[in-house]
Amino acid sequence: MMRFVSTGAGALVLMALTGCNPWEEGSVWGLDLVTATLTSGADGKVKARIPLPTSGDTTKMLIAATTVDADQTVYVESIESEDGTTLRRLLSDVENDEMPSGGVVNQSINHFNWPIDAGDAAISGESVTVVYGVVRSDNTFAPGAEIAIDGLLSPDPDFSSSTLTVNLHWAGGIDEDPEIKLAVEAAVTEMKRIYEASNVVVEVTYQTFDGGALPRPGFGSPDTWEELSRSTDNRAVDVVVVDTIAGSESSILGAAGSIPGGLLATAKSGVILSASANAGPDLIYSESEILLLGGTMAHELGHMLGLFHPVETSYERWDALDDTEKCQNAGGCQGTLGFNLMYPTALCTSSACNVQDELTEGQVGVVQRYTGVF
Amino acid sequence: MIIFLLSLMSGAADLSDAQVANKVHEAMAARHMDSCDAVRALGNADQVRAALIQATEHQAPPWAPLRAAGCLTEFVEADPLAMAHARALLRDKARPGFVLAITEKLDVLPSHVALELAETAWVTARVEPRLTRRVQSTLQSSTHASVRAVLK
Repeated sequence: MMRFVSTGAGALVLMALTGCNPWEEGSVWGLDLVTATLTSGADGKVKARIPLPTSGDTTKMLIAATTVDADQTVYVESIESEDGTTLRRLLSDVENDEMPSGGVVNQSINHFNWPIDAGDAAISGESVTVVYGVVRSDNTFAPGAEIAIDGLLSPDPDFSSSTLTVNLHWAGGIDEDPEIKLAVEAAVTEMKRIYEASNVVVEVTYQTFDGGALPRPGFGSPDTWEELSRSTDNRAVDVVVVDTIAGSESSILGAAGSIPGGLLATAKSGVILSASANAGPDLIYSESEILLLGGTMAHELGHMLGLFHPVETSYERWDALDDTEKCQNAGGCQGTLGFNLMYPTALCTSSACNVQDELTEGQVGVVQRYTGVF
Repeated sequence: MIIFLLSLMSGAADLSDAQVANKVHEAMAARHMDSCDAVRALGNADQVRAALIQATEHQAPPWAPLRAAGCLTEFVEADPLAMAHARALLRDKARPGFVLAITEKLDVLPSHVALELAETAWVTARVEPRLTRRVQSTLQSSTHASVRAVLK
């Protein structure tokens, strides 16, 4: 099926001359998958016109854009409808110190989920266009740069009640320690409870990964995370539990590959959690530490599903949602957001912590629009 | 620009010990921590060291005392009080996680300082099964030959 595809001014002329359609269409996990390698124009921009199935039933999409040159990065500027109307200019949010999607951050592997939240228009027509900027390491635009696009298109008619599948991988032989295994399994129960309150049922499958030490997603050799992600072939988020995260301090609790994270196998598709850091200095899990581990798991998954901290610890940057207060300081933020799952800091006395398990309606809207939640 | 920097510096210096302790505790409790350099800028050296020592005694969140121990280790070269506390943490058999947090910082220290901590750490680690293999691996991969030699 031929569709009109734009890839930046220079490439557009070339395509018009050659009639070349760069998109290949396939399927994975019963979803449509469109892939292409596109080239930036003289301005360093790529207009990736994502072809939609003629059935018209696509309701959400997760797009991975990867720079062919590893020294370059790519970010999303805006998204446009078929007729060229700007549906959302992500840079406008950033200019207001608000983060709508991790897609706006320069990354060599960029994940972007659309729609982002309940305020975004429904997907319609034969295509939508994602406008990317490709940037060199010296922070200048890169004309003639190639990016590889993988677009996962989902027909999910109901955003209000959904399921998320998590592949939980034990790595580094950690499942041979019965205490840690029990603690993590109990933490999974807590994580499920947190998401059930938002009508998201989390189903967890367990497996063992024997592929060696794992760094944070996106760090170290990209092959390791891709191998892990490929080891489970389903529409699910990979969560890896390790003793300590390779190449990081043992006090790093966990990390998501990106906001949102990928479902297809990339070096940034997954969440990593450190068992040691969450157990504290005695390396033994108490009941309250197990609940905190469940909270950490749910928090990192929240990033994977597209959620930012409602406020950063600088108190100068916020998420782009209307129902998370733009508080200005620690005291004010703790009062209004201190029980929120995505609050950036655990709120504790020297001996006990708040349970941070709340999500606002706006945050739930983001989670339910993530392509891995269906 | 200079005036702005001076105002920032005087802002940090003007905080009371309790205010610095609160800021350090908040930094240690963050789910995604800033660098120890950022923590160091929260007050003057004495205030931050005292706050980090205090934070190593906190029970919650569980990662806060580990981070505090790690950042405190970056003070030990120039600060005998920090060194004394780090050595005490390395001998604390009830809280073996401190050995992990401190030994992974050895490479940022001068060789003779790292060696002193490595020797103390290995005394604890060699008889604590939860530590032995992990600390052995950390010391073996140290950039300091003297630290690697502790295992021989």
